[in-house]
Order: sequence, then structure tokens, then C-alpha cells
Amino acid sequence: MATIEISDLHKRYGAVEIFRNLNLHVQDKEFVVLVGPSGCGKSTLLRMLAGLEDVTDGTISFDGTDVTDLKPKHRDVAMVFQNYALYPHMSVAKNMAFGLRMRGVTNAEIEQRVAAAAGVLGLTEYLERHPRELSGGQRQRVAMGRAIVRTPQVFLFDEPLSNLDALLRVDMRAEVKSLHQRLNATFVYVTHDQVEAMTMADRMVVMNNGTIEQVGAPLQVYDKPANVFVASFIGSPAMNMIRAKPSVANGQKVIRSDDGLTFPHPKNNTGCEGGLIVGFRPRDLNVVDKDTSGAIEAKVEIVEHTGVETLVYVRAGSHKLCMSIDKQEWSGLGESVCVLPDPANTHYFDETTKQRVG
Amino acid sequence: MTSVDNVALGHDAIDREQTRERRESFSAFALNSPAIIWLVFMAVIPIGWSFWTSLHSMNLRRPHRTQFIGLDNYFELLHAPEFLNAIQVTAVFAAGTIAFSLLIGLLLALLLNEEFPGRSLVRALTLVPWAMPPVVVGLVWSWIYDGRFGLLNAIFKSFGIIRESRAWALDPDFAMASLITAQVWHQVPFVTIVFLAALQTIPDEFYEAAKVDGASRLSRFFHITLPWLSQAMLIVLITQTMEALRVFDLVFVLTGGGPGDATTVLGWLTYTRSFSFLDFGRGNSYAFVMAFMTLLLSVFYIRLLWKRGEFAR
Amino acid sequence: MRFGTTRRKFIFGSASAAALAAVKSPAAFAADKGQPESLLRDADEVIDFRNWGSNPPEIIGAHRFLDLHPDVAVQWNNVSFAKYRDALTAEFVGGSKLDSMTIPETELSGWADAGFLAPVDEMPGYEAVAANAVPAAIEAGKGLDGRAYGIPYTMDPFGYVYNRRMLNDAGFGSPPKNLDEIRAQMQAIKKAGINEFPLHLGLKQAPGQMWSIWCFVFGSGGRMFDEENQPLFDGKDDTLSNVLEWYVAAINDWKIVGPDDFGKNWGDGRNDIKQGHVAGGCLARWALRFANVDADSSVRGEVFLGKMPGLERDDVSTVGAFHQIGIAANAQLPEPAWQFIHHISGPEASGSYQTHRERSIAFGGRAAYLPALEHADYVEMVKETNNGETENYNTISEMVRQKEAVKTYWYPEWEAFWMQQVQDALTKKVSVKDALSASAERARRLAKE
Repeated sequence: MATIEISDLHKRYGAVEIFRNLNLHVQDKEFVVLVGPSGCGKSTLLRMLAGLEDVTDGTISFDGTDVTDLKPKHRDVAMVFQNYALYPHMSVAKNMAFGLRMRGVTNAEIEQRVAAAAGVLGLTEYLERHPRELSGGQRQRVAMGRAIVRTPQVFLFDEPLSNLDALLRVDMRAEVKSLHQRLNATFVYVTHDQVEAMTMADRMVVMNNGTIEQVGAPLQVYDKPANVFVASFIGSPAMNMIRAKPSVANGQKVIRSDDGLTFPHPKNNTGCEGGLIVGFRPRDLNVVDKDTSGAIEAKVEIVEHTGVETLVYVRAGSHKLCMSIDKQEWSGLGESVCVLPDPANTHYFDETTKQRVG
Repeated sequence: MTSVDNVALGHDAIDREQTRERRESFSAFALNSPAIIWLVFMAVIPIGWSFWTSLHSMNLRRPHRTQFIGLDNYFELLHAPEFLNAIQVTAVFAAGTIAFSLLIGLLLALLLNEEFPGRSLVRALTLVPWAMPPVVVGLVWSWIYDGRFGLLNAIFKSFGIIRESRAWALDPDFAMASLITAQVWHQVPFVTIVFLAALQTIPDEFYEAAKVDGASRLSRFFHITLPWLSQAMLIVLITQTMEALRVFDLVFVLTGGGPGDATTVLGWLTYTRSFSFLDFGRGNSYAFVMAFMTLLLSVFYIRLLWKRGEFAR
Repeated sequence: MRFGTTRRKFIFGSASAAALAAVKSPAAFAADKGQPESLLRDADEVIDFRNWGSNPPEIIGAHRFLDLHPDVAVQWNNVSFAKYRDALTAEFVGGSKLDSMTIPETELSGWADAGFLAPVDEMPGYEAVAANAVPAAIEAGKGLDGRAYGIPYTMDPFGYVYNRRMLNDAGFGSPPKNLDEIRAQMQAIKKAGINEFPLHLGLKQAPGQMWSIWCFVFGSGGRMFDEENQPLFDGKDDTLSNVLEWYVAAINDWKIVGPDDFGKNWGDGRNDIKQGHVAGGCLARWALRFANVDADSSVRGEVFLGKMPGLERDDVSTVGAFHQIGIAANAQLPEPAWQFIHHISGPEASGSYQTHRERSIAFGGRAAYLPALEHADYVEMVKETNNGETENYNTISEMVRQKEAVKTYWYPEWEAFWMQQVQDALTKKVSVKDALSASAERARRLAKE
């Protein structure tokens, strides 16, 4: 049982403010991913949960118990580090046993728990090796093994997969996920990789510049980004964004960009007197007939094949838009096409507040 | 080259390949020849010559009586009381200097590894003694120890620890301690720098992981810091042992081997034997025994520490 | 390319400048007639000469030799005294063709025995040299085979040098006549607060040091070795033992000798008396110049020379150092070399001993020949350095003897061992008796090897 309650958290290094009034609630047994660009404060927040960073103001509670001023060893947490932090002079078994030894667990129990964890992680035959004799993926497993032997309530992961190559990362992602299911504990996981965040999280916390931009289930965040930052940060390739102003065309309320691109007016038109930002994901931009109402004329500039999909970069007015379509040969470089964003998946943001409207 | 390659290449190709390899190894030797020649003339020949000399009864005061006597010099020194005494004195000196410079160097390195105002200045100042030539170190300390005007006497007298001045470096009870102190003072900066360099390569993550694992400050030191330093420790032990075994300059300036033979270390004995008595036969045999002892100790240290220090970094 | 040219120019320029400097410097020195380089000139015969130093009157004297011998030049190489023995031994062993050199007293018989030196006693004029030198200095020039391998270059008898003002302040009017009086005077000086450790003994372990021991042993009429260089001090002659027992008390009980004395050689004693750090000690006579004449002395006019106190009297004997000058066995130019040393440290063609005398005067003493010692200029110098009291100076010249056993090849090794034993005895690590019997045993063993 472990819920995490972060209330009014402040963090300052001298005059530099890292967070201000941060609030977050993590459910028991939830897998929460903190995601954001580097420097957004996600690692600092994780380290504050671990007790490795002082809290300037505010409280952190585990299960309703205030742990704000507790030392790391008195919080029932385990942490997996980006560079694994395996002790080079200790064997795998000793690395995994270290936390238990420090807590005075009996040798018999240590042995049994290390063996169990090694079994789960497929490390049994490596127990007597030293970290230098292991591959990156194996070291990663040892680092996790060291965390799980202690069976803590809260697991903290600080970008644990970022040193692995792409293929291994996909495997380990699944392993961490299944570990979560097996262990029934609360996971807080930090990454800058939105794919990791999307694939692993029960809920993701998108952070930027020391503030939480949005908290929600991955698809919820993807489908309804709360603001311009989340919209642009989540999703790859990034969402197309165009600045536009309300206007009237053919007697209809539309919004129009400076270079004359027009888009339908958002349905609930509250608060769109000033400027708006129109956003649509590349996947939601489609090729249409010339006569389709609202069709935008564009010229194909670049075509990229990723395998699964084909990315077509087109120029419409002064804007460069990205369109993602199913894999296909596309030979029409330089030719004109008409494109139209799917109105159901078009996002509108207030230009001033950058918040979602409609 | 595997046998499959050979078959595939055919004989001509193999010949060509071998010629090319020969040519390559020849040019490798040619390019290295200045270094090799330097080494042969500056190290190999003198060392060989020195060993050859050690197999002779050779005193330059009686050059016409030089003769080959095989290993007699070596057998003889095993029974020579002054040689055995020098080994004992050297061992005390080495144990004292190594223990104290290791301990003080480690403590200083730990201190200098912490953040505090003026740290870079203190770090720079710590190096000063090391930058001084041993002879100058000896002179500086000879003034500190001086029996009439020395700083040490002044300090001890002002605190009422002693009533009468002592010539510390010439006092039978304190000569060895004086010598050890001066040597430690001179060597501590090197030890500190080696340890500090090693300390600075310890990733913070280790300490953080250990904190999360529940390790106390003390167990973090013993389980992480100290094992990590074992390679640095090896370097320090070997260099300090060599420094201690070959010490000469400090003895020359501070004690002259005295009082009596209280500070007659091997280096000093070898010097007097060779250059005061011009007894090059015995002097060279002393030098070889010294070198051999250093070698033995180094092998011992490496056995002891090398494996522990082999990290995947 | 522009940079390349500049660099080449720079390298070329500095190389030429260095080459020019290298070529020019001897010429620049040659202009200075007091420098040894000025003795080298184009000549048919170049005498290759080694010394551990030189002073201007000596070089100017050598120029008079060059004036008399237009076909001869001198290559005068100085090697510091500290390295002199090693450097010369290396040259001899290596077969270097040097012609002549000064010879430290400790090396003469060894070098002669090794065949490095040519005997000089059959050289023309040697008889006259021997007749005019202080006898002990002539004796010191002889090897173990009794032949002369050098002629006297310097003579440094040791006397008891004391600070008269300190003595007077402590209530004494005249210098000590024996060790008891030294003790009484020094204790009084100490008690009066004039000086905490007033006596210099110079007990540093270093080749040729611990002169004071030889001084007091000879001053007491004792001996350390017999004619056959066999030790006498472990039973046959108690003088050394008695002197050392007195030292033990002086250091440990009366505390009239500083704890730093184990690190002092006689040169340190010369400085200590000059700076007023000690009230007395056994020093070579020319130390008086440093104390009484040198501008930076803090005791000018206060330091006097006494005779050598022994256990009972002060008119028996004293020790001295006697360096020689000689000719190498494989000299290329033995005849000119002989004439040269005969000129540098001998009567010269004129019989005047001018160069020897003028060099000695420049040093503040050290003359070894009676014509020099008795010359008006020299007497004037003695008067000046001794504050007008010259009687003891002359007496000491007649009493002086060389150290014993110093001609054996094993002397340096024995001396080093003996010095260790002496220090051990004086720090009471061993008894004087044990130290001396160990030293005697070592001497006998070394003599047998």
C-alpha cells in the first residue's frame, strides 16, 4: 500500500526556483511516468521523492505519513539510476544484497531473496559475475534486481533505459511493465522519451519548466492535449500548429491565418475573440479533392518513408505542414495537392494563454 | 590469420602478406630505434654493467686489486651487521612514512573533495611541498629542527612541553621521527592528489544508490569510497615504498645517517659504500639488493590490490 | 609560408647567437688576469692541471710562470672540493692524461699506492723544497712506501680558538690550558647567561670531520695508531678514551655543547664563532680571518688563538690538515708540470715562494713553508687576523702533526665506522669502551683485507 501525495512543493537552489506550488497525487500501485524535456525538473522531483534532494517548502507524504524530512533509508523506496550505479567491486549477488545487508537482514533471507529476484530477472547464472562482465541490458536488470529484493512500496526510476540501444529499450520497456504488474507496487518513472511514457504509464505527468502541464492517461493526453506545450511535446512527428484569427468567409465564421489559410471555427466558440492556435496531428491531415470545402492547396516539398508510414511535407502559404499517410510510393515531388485536417481532431488553443479551447 | 584465409589467399598472396608484415615490423623498429637506442645506452647497459661490477671485489682506492668474485659480495652482505642494521632502519622508515602519508593523504583528499569556500586555493597550497626538491625540503626541515634557532624548539618551549632545546634530527630518540615527518610532509601532496583524482571519479550515483539502500555515512565510506580507491592505493603504496626505500637526499641533508647509525638507511649506506669508500663492488651489490626488495614488495602489493581495483569504468 | 620563414629565421638567429656566445666567452674571461681561463693560450705545451679552487693572487702568480716559459700554457680546471676525490679518481681510473693536480691529504697515499701519482722526490730542487717546508707538511706528502708524491700546498694547524670578550665577561683572563679549564670556563659562560652552549666540538659524521677529537688527543700527547697503523686506543693508549669520556659529560651532564653539534663540521664552527654563537672550539688557524677581519663578522677583534689544550697541558702537540700538489703518473709533460707546481706552491725559480705566500695571505693563513711563514707580509697578515697576538700562531706551526692512519687505503671506511661509534657513545647508546673496542677491531679487520 503506498499512495504518494505531493502538496505545494517548492524547490529553490539559492535564487533559482526549480518548482513552485507543485501538487500531485499518485495512487497506490499506479505506474506514473514523469515526462518532459531536459531541465523541466522531473528528475529533481523524483530525487525529492527518494529523499536525495531537500525540499524547500511543501510536503511529501507516503500513505498519509509525512516523509518530507526523512532520510532516504527511512522511506520505503528503491531507486533505479540512469547509469545503474552498480558497485564495481561487488559481484551481482553482492550488489543485489547490499541494501538488505545494510538493513541487517539475515544471511539466509538475503540469499533466498536474491535468488528469487535473480530468477525473476533471469540473472541466476550471472550472480557471481562482476558488473564489468555484463552487457548493458544485464546491468540494467541487476539494477532493477537490487531494487526489487527489498520489496519496497515505492519504486523510483530515473531514466533507466536511456543508456540502452533502441532494440533493447523496447524489450526492457515491456519487462519493466510486467515487473510492475508482478510486484504490485507504486512506480514513479522519469523519462524524456514520450514513447516510453506513452507505452508504460498508467498516468503520465507532462512537465515543463518546473510546472506540471498535464496529468492524465496516455491516450487522454494524446487526444486532448491541455495546452500548446503538451500538444507539441507529445506525438511524433510533432503536431502542426498555425496561428489564426477569427474571420468570416462566404458568410461563415472561420478562422484565418495571416497567409490566408482558413479553418473551421471551433464548435464552442467561447473565448476566441483574440488569436488562436490551430493544431492538427500529421496523421489527421488528409489529401482531398480540390473541390472539397475548406481544402487547402499545398505543394509537396519532401517525402520521407519510415516504413510503417510515409511522411509528406507540404508547403501551404508560408507554412510547412507534415502529413502522415499509410506507407505508399509517392512520386509527386513538387506537385500540388489539396489537403484538409480532420475537423474532429483539430485542436484549438488560445494564443495568449496557450490553453486548450473547445 | 586463420588457415581458411591462407587457403583463400593462395601461396603468392601469403608470401606477399608475409613480406609486407616483415617490412612493417622492420619499419616499426626503425621508427622506434631512437627510443630503443636511448634505452639501451641509458638503462640496459648501465644496469648490466652495474651488475657485472657487483660481481667483483672493486675498490677504486685500490684499482689494481679488482677481481671477479662471483656472488661473494651478495653472500657477504647477508652477514654484514651494517647492512642488516640498514635494512632494519629502512623498514622502520618505510613503514612510518607509508602509514602516515597514506593516512594523512587520504584524510586531506577527503577534506579537499568536499565543497567549502577557498577550496581551490587550499588545493593549490597543498601541492607546494611536493613542488620542492627533496634537498630543499631537507634544508627547510633542518631549520625547523635546528637545535638553537629551530621553530620546533620555539613552539615546544612556548607551550612548556620542553625546557631545554633539542637538535631533533640529531637526537637519538627523535632522529628517525624527524626524518619520517619531513618525508611525510614532502610526500603527502602526491598521495593527496592521487586520492583526490580517484575520489573525483566516483559517480555521485553510487552514493545516492547507497543512501537509498540505507547505508550510513561510515558504511558508504567503507563499502564504496575505500574499495574505489584501491587502485589509487596501489599506486600510492608502490610509489611510496619506492620513495621510502631509495630515500637519500633527506638523510644527506638532515641526519647524515646519524646519530650513530640510527638513520643509516640502505640508500645512505649504498652511497657511503660507493662514493665515500669508493667500494663499487659492494656498493653495486647493495643497490641490486635494494632494487630486488622494491620489486618483491611491488609484486606483493599488486597481488594484494590489483584484482580488487579492476573496475569497469 | 610567412610564418615558416620567420620561425626559421628565429631558430637560425638564436643558434648563431648561442654559437657566438660560446666562442666569445673564454676570450671575454681571458681578459681577466685573475681567472684561471686566462692561463690558456696558444702554446707548444699545455699543462693539464686540476684544482678544487683558485684565488686571484695564485693565478696572477701563475702568469709569472707563463712569462718565464713562453712555450707553455696551463689548462686549469677547477672541480669543487666536494666532488674532487670522485672526479679525479674517475679520471685516473679512466686513464685521463692530466699532468698535475692538488692532492687532498686523505687521498695521497691511496692514489700513490694505486699508481696514479708520480714520485717527486727525485725531481730537481725537491731537496730545497723539503728543507724549507714545515716538517709535518713534508711528511704528509709521503706515501706508505716512504717516497714523496707531492709537495705541500696548504697547511692548516688547529688551535683552540676562543672569544676573549665572552671569556672576560665570565671572569676569566686567559684561555684554557687543559680540558678541566675548558669545562670551568664554559660552565661559567653558560651560567652567566652569555651563551647557552658555548663550546663547539664539530661532531658531524662526515669524511674528515671530528677534528676536535684529534686535536685533544694530540694535545694530550696521545696517539690513536702506531707506526704500523695498528690501533692503540683499545687498551694501549687511554687518551682517546679519556677525551671521549670528557665529551660524554660535556654533552650530557654539563651541557656546554649544543645538541646540534652532531650536525656541525669545522666550517660550521668557523661560522658559529664568527657570528658569536659559540665561545670556543678547535679550529684551523685561518678561521681567525673570518672572525676578526671579515666585514660581516659580529665579533671583530674579539677572537684569539690559543694553543691546543690537552688533558693536562697546552704545549704538547696539535693536529693539522696538509694538502699537497703533485704530478700524475702518466703525465704527458712531467718536467713542465713539475716546474709549474714548483712555482705555484714552492720556491719558484727565484726562490721567493711568492705565489704560495700571496695565495696564503689571501686565504688568511695556510702557508706551509718557512720562507712564506716568516715573510714580513705574511707576519703582517697574521698580526692583523690575530689582533696583534702572534705568539701562539708561531708555536702551533712547530707542534703540528698529521692525523694517524690517514695514509692507509682503509682510513675512510674505518673513519666512517668510528664516527658512528663515537656518536653512539656520546649519546650513551653504547659505552665509550665498547665503541672503541669495536672501532679498533674494525681497523684491524680492514687492515687485513
